[in-house]
Amino acid sequence: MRLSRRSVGVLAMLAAGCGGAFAQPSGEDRIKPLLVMISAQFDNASKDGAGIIIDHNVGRLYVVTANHVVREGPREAKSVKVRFHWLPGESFEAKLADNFDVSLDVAVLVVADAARLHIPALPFEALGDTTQLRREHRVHSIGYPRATPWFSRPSPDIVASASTETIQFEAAWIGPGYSGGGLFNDRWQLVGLIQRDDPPIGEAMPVERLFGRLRQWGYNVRFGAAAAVIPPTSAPSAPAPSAPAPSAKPPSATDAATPGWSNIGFGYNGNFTCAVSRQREAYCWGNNAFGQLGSSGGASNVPRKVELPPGVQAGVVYVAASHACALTSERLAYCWGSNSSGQASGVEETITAKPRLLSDSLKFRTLALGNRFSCGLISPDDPKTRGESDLYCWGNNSLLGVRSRTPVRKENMRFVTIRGGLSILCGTKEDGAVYCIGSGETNKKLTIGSLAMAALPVRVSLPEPANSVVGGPHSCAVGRSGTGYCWGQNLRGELGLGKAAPPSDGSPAAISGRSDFAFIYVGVDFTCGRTRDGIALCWGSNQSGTLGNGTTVDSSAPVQISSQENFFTLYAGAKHVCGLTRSQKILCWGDNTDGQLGNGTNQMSLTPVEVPPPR
Amino acid sequence: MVMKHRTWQYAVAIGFAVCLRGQAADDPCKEFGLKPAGGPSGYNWRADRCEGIFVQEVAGSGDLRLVSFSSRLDTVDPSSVGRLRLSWAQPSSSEVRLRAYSLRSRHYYRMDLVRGAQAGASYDWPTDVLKIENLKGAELGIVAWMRAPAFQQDVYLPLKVGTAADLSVVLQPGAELSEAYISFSRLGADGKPVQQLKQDEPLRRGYYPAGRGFSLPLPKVSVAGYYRLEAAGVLKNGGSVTRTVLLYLPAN
Repeated sequence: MRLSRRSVGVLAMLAAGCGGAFAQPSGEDRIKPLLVMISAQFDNASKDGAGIIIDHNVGRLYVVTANHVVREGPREAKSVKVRFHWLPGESFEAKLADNFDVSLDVAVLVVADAARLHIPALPFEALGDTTQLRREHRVHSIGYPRATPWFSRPSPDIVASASTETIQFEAAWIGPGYSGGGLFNDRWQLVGLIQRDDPPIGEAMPVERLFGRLRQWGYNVRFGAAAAVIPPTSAPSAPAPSAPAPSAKPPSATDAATPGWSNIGFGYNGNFTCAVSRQREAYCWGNNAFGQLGSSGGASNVPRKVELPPGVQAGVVYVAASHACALTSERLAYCWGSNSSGQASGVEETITAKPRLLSDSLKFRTLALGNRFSCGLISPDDPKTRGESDLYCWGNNSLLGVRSRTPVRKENMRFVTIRGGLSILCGTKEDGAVYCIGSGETNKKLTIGSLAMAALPVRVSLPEPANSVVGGPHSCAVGRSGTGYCWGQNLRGELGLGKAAPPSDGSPAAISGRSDFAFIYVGVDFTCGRTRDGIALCWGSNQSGTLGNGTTVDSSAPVQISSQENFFTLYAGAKHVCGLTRSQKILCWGDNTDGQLGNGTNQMSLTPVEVPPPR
Repeated sequence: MVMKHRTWQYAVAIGFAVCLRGQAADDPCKEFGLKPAGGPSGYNWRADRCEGIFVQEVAGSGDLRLVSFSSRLDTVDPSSVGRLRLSWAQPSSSEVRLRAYSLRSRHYYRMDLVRGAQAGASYDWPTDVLKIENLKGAELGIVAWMRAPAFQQDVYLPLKVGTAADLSVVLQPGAELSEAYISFSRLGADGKPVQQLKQDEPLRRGYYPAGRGFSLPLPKVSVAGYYRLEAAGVLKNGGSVTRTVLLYLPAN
């Protein structure tokens, strides 16, 4: 009897799940299909490691791994083969995606023609929260040590420390072959990507940092797609035993059919909002005076699909006051909206009403949009520069030295991350140094440290290296310690200094009361922040309800919004805020004159309201 | 007075050296791509070499790795001497690279040394880091190699450590083997085989665990020159690995 590949996969799943007759698979068995085993062939050597499946559709399957598994310095592996848990004995060719980060030691692999893989339902809901990891918590590692696939030791290791940068665990044994494998908490939820051994400590990158980078590249990371939690294997209240029921239809169809959001537009100062659905379609809502919704028609108070060309899938959307761009999973940029200075496209038109491909040759890691200009960091990274990439800009910004309808490379300007706002562009360097370029609004001097209206990158004098920076009339950065720093305009308490006065020399000052920020989002006269625990906080002007706490009273110190939701990311518009939650909902609050809250009304809301998921 | 004059000379020399080091744009150890571990033993520049403990990226390899081509090290005791004399035979005057590893499990120690063409065929290796790490001779692997000018391939050189004798090659499998086979041939001046001395001879050790080195017997050769060693391993979990290295051997 000849078994079809799908039958083999189903039987393998059944076998994996059957510790005893009709027993439910253990947490460990259940998550193993998320991991692939990798063999990379170089000219004179081979390397083994593991990888984690982050997404798949009918065409492609995406895997994240440690970059050093598939690259050696500037050399790429000549061929890469991956093995899947549900297809024992078979291996499949994988291609290196252009996205990789040497300093973070992260790379992406793509397996084409994924339909032939008959992918079972993968437990993407098994996502842990590293902010909950504490010293002495138990963790499990799974990898490919000594060519032993999906190997995990029977006894767990112990967390030594966990931060946003790295998870260190006291590893009884970890060795060659674990790289790119998964680190799981004691509920078998993914918490990290294993990378290094510094005996007796093993090191892994936390999933939040890892997935943040992947989303920045435009990947649709499926983890956390559902709120379901795998019960601890020892829990006495575990569900009654039942036979595992492999899905008869491809799970991609199941997952793709589930409505929800995968990303929200990054940016500043818009009276509109954009987001990406789980089906990788871009949607925008709110003001459309300049075509910034990327679709014909007037303003919309419900999400409206951006008219990207057929077959183009969006990964991330970036927005400014009146234009927007989407990066596809191939990292090509499509832009639309106001085009008075060529900030959206090279075509001589004042408004680019429908998305246009910016360039078919420039592939971007990330974008940052400002008033009448756009910038992007080019991929791939140059390995020698440890993650910094060349800056390209287009549009019009005299202090940035840009007046071009096509992207031009800015000499000697290389950054790891960039963010724009009005006429400001700020970026971080590999060593955590922060630089800003440009000016504030016309006739309004903006202080960057002690300098005003900088035409060249000015290094911001922060007391510690920064993870991120956002520029605008006021700018903020998050230090590696989690402390937030703001500087610049402080009309309504938007610097968040509490009762303290801003430094007279305009230098950055620490935000009052919190030192656990993961990211800060700058609005026009208000600011919001997300803590490492996913709590959303806002401060500054509350005239339009932007603080989301049910009042219109300004606050010069961070206040928590009226929601217990755990947030992945936020967007601070001109007078409204939206946030993407871990459960992939979008909540918005504040001004709704143009329908930018997306809830089908035009009424301002002082507390978060949900944007209906796309159908 | 003489002492004072000398002290002044030393101070100038040290200052000049520090100044030169400060001006060096690049860390000389950067080319080896290792991330130093913390502490006094961290992999770092140490006067003339890079040496110490590093943080290991844990990509694996099922390959057979050449970890030693030297005189037997199990009788060598680094803790008993201040320096270990390394000496080697080389067919021509060329730059020679030396690399020493720890073979202890999860002990990521390495020494990298580059000797210029005119630096001679020996090196007195300070043992201070080996002492801190309590590394015994039997836990060390060490190789020296150069680029063969005639055929532009790396050739490993026979290395004598201290007074130890009996040259051996040590290979380390990344995954467990069920058997290993050896082929050995002499090469001509152009790098092509001219005489087959061994052909697929099984070692018959019975046990080749992952990560543990095993030594290979080298036949006595009457002609000094280049030789090719090909080791093939049958992986216990299926598949096979091969490793080919070129050796320079003096005549016995």
